[in-house]
Amino acid sequence: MRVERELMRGAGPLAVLKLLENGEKYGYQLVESLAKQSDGVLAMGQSTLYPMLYNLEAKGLIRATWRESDSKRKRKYYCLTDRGHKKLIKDTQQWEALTAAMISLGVIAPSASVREALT
Amino acid sequence: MSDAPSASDSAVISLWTRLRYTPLRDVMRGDVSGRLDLKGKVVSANLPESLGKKVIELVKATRLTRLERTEVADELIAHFLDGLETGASPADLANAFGDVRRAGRLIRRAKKRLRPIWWQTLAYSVKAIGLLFALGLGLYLFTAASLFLSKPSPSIDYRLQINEVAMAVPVSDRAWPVYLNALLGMPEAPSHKGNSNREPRPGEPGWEITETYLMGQAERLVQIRQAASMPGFGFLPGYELTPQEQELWPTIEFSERDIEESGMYAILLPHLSELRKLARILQSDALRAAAEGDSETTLADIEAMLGITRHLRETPFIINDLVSLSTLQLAIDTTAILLARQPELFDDRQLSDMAHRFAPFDDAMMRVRFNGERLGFLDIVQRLYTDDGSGNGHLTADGVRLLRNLMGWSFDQGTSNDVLATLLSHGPLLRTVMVDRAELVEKHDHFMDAMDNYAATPPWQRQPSKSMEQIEQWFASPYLRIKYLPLVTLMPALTRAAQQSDRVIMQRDALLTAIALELYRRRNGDWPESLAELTPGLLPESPIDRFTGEPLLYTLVDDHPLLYARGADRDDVGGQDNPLSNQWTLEKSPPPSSRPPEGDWVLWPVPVEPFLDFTKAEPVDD
Repeated sequence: MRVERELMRGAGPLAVLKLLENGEKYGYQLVESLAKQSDGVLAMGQSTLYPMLYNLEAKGLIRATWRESDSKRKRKYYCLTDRGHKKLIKDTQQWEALTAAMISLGVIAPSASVREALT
Repeated sequence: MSDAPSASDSAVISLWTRLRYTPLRDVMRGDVSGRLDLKGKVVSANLPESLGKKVIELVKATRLTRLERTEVADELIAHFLDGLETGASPADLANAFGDVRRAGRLIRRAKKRLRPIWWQTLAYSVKAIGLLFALGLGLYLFTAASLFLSKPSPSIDYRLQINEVAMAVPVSDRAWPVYLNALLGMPEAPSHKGNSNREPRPGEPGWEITETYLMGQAERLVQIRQAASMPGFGFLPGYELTPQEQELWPTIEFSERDIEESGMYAILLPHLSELRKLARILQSDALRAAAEGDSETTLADIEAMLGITRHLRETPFIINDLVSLSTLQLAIDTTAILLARQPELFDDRQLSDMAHRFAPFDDAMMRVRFNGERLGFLDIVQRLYTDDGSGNGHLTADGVRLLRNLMGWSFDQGTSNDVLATLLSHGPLLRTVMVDRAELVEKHDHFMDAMDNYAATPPWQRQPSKSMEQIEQWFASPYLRIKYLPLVTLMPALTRAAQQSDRVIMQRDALLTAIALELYRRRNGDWPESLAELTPGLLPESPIDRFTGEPLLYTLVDDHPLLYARGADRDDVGGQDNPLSNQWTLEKSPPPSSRPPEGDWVLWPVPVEPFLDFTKAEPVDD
């Protein structure tokens, strides 16, 4: 399923920040991870990803570094900055609140763990 | 001979190519890196052709700087190589890329945000300046269009209002044709003013020539006296000259077109100097007659001067009123001189009659009026601006031309005010800065109301005019002077005009008091101890010192009366005369920056030079 552009505009940056939470990644890795870990829901082409990365960099949420890889080729690696960490935490909380609200409205069906907690 | 480049040529080309694609900073460091060569990068990365094209196409679409494009290209090449390493096909990678043009646009936007602050500030500044310039240009063009495409539409002939009184005078009652007839028959009066800036008087060098001239003009003088006694004046300024007027003023060319273009400011008033000239001739004749003991002719001449004074006020321009004041002053001076030096010339009846002749020329009658200036300004306004039907309008190209004509004195010389000259020569700029019609008229009305109020307030209660101060402030400010240009340029010195009337009225009051003193002396054999003894029998009320609002000061010095005002310093110093004291402002609070002259203003007896030849004078019986 493809996510509409408006929704992707809100979810995409958070997804990228989340992927960088555990360490630096280069562009292709991010594309692959987004596609695999979200079952293709958050898959995005380079035409979307790279502008997003440059925007996050301009906001100071991620930092880019050119470095030689194991295969002796140069790659641009992205990692979270402190501000990026804070943003990730804040946005995650907001998404959790949003999800809870959607569940309570019946827009989203609660997962098994959530159902258990509710009963 | 082969055209193929040699090895050394290739090396030169290669170096040249690399140099072309090397950033300046690298060259400065001595590193001919060639790292801006995108095609070279794609080729050396061994990317499949389809992906290489994608990279080139994208970076072109970004329209970024060459360095930024290189960086984007490096990242995309690395991206595709990573994809190929994982086994993805070039076609899959190309398909997964997405829309190149959209990507180019988004990357450009994002990359610009990554630029340094100074660059972004500069970019925004350039944009802002460009925007302002475009706005300014648009405004200028709009203003220019509205300036050049619109025309003023003067709809009111203010000449009718200016000449309302003169036109109402029946033709048979009009004095001007009689004056004109006399003027046409008179040769130019001799002028030997010398250092005293006045005509010679009996006994003075040059008097014989004047006397001969006067004797030769006896018939004309009768005509002038007759004209001065007529009820109305009837001169109509601003209209085509009659053949007789044209004969009197052969160099004046009346043009209806001048009136159409410049309004009432094109109106000529040549009759003013003619009547002033006649008043001077009458003064000389009064002194001549007095020297011969001819009191009746003397009185007739003085009365004629008063008639001219009255006629001059028929047209309500300030200049008319000021010339009228000057002829009244001539009559007062003449009478005062004769009363001081030759009091016995007049009998009691004549003195009383003279007092009654001067009495009507009081404050109410002689106050300087601003009606003509009001109408003249409104006339100019309707020739400067358009008329939107509700009292407003904007400046027109014809209006700019008119302003240039009105200000020709400063614009043509071009030295005193370059800003003004520039604005006047660029009408749209002037149109942008100058106030619109409604505001200009509103300000003008406000000032003129204030000036009417100023003139109507007794001088000892007047404060310096805030309106005139404001106009002076506007004049001192380059911006405000241009904003209110017509007001600042065309507003006469109204406060001075108002004060001139006060001075002359004070002299007229003093003359009436002097006549009363003389009559008292004749009846009682001595001078009164105080002015109170004159009222109400000989004088309706005590004369007022218009500097203070208190009665004029009176004392006897060596058994002779001395009538004086405290003068500009408002201090009584016992009648020590300072001729400068009456030239000072009559306002309640004179400018703090300057000290008024000390001393009093002696009004009676007037200082009289020893000029009269009394040998011909015959004593008059009481």
